[in-house]
Amino acid sequence: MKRKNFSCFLFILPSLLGVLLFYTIPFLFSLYYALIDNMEDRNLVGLQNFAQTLANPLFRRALGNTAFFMVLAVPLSMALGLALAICLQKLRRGRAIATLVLLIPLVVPSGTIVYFWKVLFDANGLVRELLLLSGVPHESLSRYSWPMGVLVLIFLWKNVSYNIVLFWSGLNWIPKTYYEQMELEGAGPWRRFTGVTWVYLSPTTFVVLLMSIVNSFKVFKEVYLLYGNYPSPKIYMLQHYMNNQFLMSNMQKLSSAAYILFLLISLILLAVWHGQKRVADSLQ
Amino acid sequence: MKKIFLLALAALLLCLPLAACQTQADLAYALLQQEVDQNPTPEELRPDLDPANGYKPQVYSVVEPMLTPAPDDNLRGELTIQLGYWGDNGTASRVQELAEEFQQLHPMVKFNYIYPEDHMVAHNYTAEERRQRAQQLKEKISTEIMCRKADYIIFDNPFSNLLGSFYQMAMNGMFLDMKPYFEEDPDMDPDDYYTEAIDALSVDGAWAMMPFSFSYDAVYLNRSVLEELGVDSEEIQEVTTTQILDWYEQALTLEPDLQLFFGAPGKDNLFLVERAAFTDLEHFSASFNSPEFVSFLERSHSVINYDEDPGWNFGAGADEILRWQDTGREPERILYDKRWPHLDPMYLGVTQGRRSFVALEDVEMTSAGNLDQPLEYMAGPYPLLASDGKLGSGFGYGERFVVPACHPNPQLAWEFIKYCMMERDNMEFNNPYWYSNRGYTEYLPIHKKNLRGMVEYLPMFVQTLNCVGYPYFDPVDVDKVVGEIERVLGSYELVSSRVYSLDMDDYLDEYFVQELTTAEECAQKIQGRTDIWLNE
Repeated sequence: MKRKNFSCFLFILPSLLGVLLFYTIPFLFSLYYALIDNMEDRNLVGLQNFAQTLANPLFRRALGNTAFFMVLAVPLSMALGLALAICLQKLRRGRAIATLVLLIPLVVPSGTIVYFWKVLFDANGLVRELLLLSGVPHESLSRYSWPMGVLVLIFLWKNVSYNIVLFWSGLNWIPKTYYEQMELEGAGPWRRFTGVTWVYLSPTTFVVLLMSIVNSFKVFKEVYLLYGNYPSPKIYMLQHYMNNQFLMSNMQKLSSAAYILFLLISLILLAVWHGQKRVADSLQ
Repeated sequence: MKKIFLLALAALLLCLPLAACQTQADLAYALLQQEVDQNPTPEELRPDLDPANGYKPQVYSVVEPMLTPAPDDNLRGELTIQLGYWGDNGTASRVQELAEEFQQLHPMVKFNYIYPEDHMVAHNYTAEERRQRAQQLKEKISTEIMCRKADYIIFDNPFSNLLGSFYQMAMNGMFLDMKPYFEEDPDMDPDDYYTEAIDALSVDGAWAMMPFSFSYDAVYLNRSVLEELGVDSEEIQEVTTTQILDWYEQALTLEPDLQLFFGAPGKDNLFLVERAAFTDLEHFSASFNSPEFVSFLERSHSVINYDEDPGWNFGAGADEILRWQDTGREPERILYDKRWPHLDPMYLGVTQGRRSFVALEDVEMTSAGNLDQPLEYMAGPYPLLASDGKLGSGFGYGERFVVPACHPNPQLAWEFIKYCMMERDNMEFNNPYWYSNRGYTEYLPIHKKNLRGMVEYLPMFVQTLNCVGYPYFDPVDVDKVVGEIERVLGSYELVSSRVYSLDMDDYLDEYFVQELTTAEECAQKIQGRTDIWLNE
């Protein structure tokens, strides 16, 4: 038994070392950086850096933008993903082609996506030109421009495919006899959805929720490629704040912001996991 | 039906690349890339100038400095000098000469030099290649400083793109604060130096960047236009950005084709000065979304500025353009190929330059001479102020030393920097690079006596080969020139160069060049970016 355990340990050792070297040790070092005054003197200052970061109006604005984006984009991507997965499941003819079209954004690189959206939504992009040609005044375009909306659109376009895949596999696991039984009892489509689909899809839904929350933080890649280090204040995210602190070599602000973000994400995921447990228990 | 659908999809997928949106910029880039691919590489063009093939610059014979080490000299160690800029080692050679002089005084100090590729090689690169190499150098230096591996002194000049990064790193304590060294050193008397210029580079009170030389924003004005407006050029003490626009708008009623800037450097040039009036570094606030700034943008936008203009954009060059237009006399100061003048860009720059009102040129050594011996057709140079009276320190022009905080021997680094800044008798340098001047500096020295020395040396200085296009001077009235410079430094608030370190080119291009945004939109964007930058 001991020998077996040792062999198992040897097999996971390379991955474990990688996790230690590239995640755990930097994670702990970051905490040290967050607790000192600067990289030269290295005097311990306790939670002063955290307090300063939380008091910074720019950090709070970035936090607000990030939270707003998550609250807007995550439910939309989940609802759209589920709706498209159900449509795909019900499609008799052309399912393969429809699947291909819906999954293409998943495999397209971010740089390509950015270029595509830039052609559409840039200051000299196609959408703006079409709106101006159709008579929309220039002032209206500037007054009602909504960069957050464009960002949500980009996020949905890129990430809904992933949700479709997850929901589709979840849907395929639901036995069809349940639907037949509900039909025999005279239940309509909505009743069948809430009574069967939604109930049996709940574990998958929580997985999709978790992955969508994680993916929502990755949208920084596209924003950075589109707008650089200093985007509009309306889409200035936490990642911009941290990235710019890194470029300014301010490890203290960077580490404290990263830890605050880590704590917030942990709380969110804890709440999601707790919620999922309660729902699962109630269904049982 | 399925087959038809599949065929249609395949056709669509094939057509998409063909119908891909290709903007004008894409087309231009494709043509440029084609041109670049057809061009020979730098090595193919001039293999004889490639240091890898054994090229060594020609050395002029010079007077050897006779310096004697002190009997009790105990300074020892090793100093490495890293150039902060890429593609021009001409100015670096004077630092090397200073290092050699220092070594004569302190024989136990050894110097190393890290020079990126030289001007002679850089000259044959394309603009994109030069930009990439400059960017690589910037990243190398920034990374080494952040990783605390930078064991060198950095000598930086306007050719570098490091100033913005330096400010950011200085704010986080990555550089040595030289103020305590300056204040505690018995050899340093603040009254001997232009401390205003040192303060302009300071970061939160720390002297993280020590200027070796500096300049300040200035303009030359077309004398005939001033006469038409009834303005006496002798009475002008300074010029603000709004004053320039006021005079220009008045002049347009008399001359509708008058261009604002000689050489058409871009409509955003006044913004570079005016931004100081709307940025408050002390209170971390900006007021770019104010009606005054929007009005300024609109007025700047409406000026005439044709970018294809090949004219010269400095005072003496503008003077040559106006002389040509007035008398038809061929340029005297511009060195051009007389066999085929119509192909020489320098000649064309004079003969095809548009009649304009303003030449933007900082006051550095060559333009300082005009404070005593003005140009014939251009008045000035006058200090160029923002509308609130602040004077910019030449968009960060000038040369400076930076010492990373992790330097192993900061005292030795300071001793060398001090030596470079201190009073000296000889302003003539050897400078082995034929394309560079042979003076202590081409900007204004930070030491008051060195400034006087350079002004005295000016007639010889401008005759060195690099000063093409600049006027020749008779012996200069040193008191007059230095007096005017000191009047300027004492009369106006010298704004921190940090104001210029945030890049706004994309927003300015959108407004001034591509005309995609309104003045209000542009102002909002600039305000948003500045708010973020100030508060991070």
